[in-house]
Amino acid sequence: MDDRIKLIIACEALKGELSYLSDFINTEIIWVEQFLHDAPDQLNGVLKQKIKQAEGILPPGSTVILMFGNCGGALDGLWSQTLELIYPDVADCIPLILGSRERFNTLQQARPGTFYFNKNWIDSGQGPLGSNQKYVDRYGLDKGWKVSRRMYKNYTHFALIDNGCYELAGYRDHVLEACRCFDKIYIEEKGSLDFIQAALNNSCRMRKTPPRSSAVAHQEGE
Amino acid sequence: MSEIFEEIKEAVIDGDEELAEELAQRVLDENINPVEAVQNGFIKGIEQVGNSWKLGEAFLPDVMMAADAMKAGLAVLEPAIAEMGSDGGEIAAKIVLGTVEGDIHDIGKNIVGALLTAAGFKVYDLGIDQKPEQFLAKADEVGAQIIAASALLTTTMNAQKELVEYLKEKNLRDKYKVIIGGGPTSKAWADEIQADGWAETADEAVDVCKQLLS
Repeated sequence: MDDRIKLIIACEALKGELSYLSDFINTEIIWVEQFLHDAPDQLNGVLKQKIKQAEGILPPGSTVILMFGNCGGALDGLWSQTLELIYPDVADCIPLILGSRERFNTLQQARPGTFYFNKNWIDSGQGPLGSNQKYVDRYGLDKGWKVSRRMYKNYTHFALIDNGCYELAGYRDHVLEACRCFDKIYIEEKGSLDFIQAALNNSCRMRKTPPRSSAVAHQEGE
Repeated sequence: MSEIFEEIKEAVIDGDEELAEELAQRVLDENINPVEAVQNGFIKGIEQVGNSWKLGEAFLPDVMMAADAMKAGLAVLEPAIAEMGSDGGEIAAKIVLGTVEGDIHDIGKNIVGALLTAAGFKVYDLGIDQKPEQFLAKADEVGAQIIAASALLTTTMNAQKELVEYLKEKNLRDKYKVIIGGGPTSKAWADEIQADGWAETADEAVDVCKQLLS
């Protein structure tokens, strides 16, 4: 891992992957709840708070990596007064979980109607079966299921990503059950941790925002 | 007769697609004026749900289900309305609506379609995963004034740009107003790709369409 990175702020969607890489990671991780994926404005607000928190504990000039996909543009416009912010230049966390942008793009072109699962996507209850319970609680059994099926209507495949960082057995059962309930085709996609490791090594295409104070000082000095 | 209109309105509010279709069929079977059923039933229902949503009293699934119910009912009535030679009252304009290529998300698009219909526009909904040539073919076929393209993913937003570029290539850019929308889109993106309009919410999309035609 790049020694200049002094803190990771990460989406809980990547908890399984980052936990697996714990020997490789030498900084603290601040976790952000993954349900915020559906609420980019709220995610942006929470990240601003976490960055503020980081400014309070890290020396000026330190680098913080945001381990997120840029869900709905939630990372756009983030900055810190004293810290350099870096994050992988990727629109969604699925390419990170799969191992590369190219692999994600190839799969999306072949099957745009694929909903992807990894360990934490299932553990957090954010998948179809978890959200169904939310709708059943709100609308009752019949309408709850109707709403839920409608939400996932245009998906054709539910794909479990096997990137080697967790035992598939229980998760496979979960996704198979989701496929049965929502009438989708089950697939498994081989993934890798290469993209996540490259991000932590700061060796892939990254977005970088220097500390605002140095940017201001630099401008004033010009 | 007003009873069935009230039932239609309630079916839309409840988001009951099957009942909406069933009631629309009853309208045809009982020789009730389908245009009145649209205006006094379906549109009243979606208007009420739309207003509740704006006030924060309804949730996204409520509007999604209501929009689907309205769409299903209108599909049953549309052939009869076309046969009558009436498009259901005074039409503000014709709009071809769809989700761009590679994108299968349609909840927001359907809500936009429902609110545009309620506002008097004739909406031709192409569905999901639509290529630029499919947008253009439909717009050409129906004589649309506006093409509305939705994208929910940052990875598919670029297809909105491709649509604008495609119209330019065909020397038809000035013939149609192009509006875009969807979660990751923005006014800045619309300006960058030279779309004519952008809306963040479904009711703003109605206002944008009205402004573009005024």
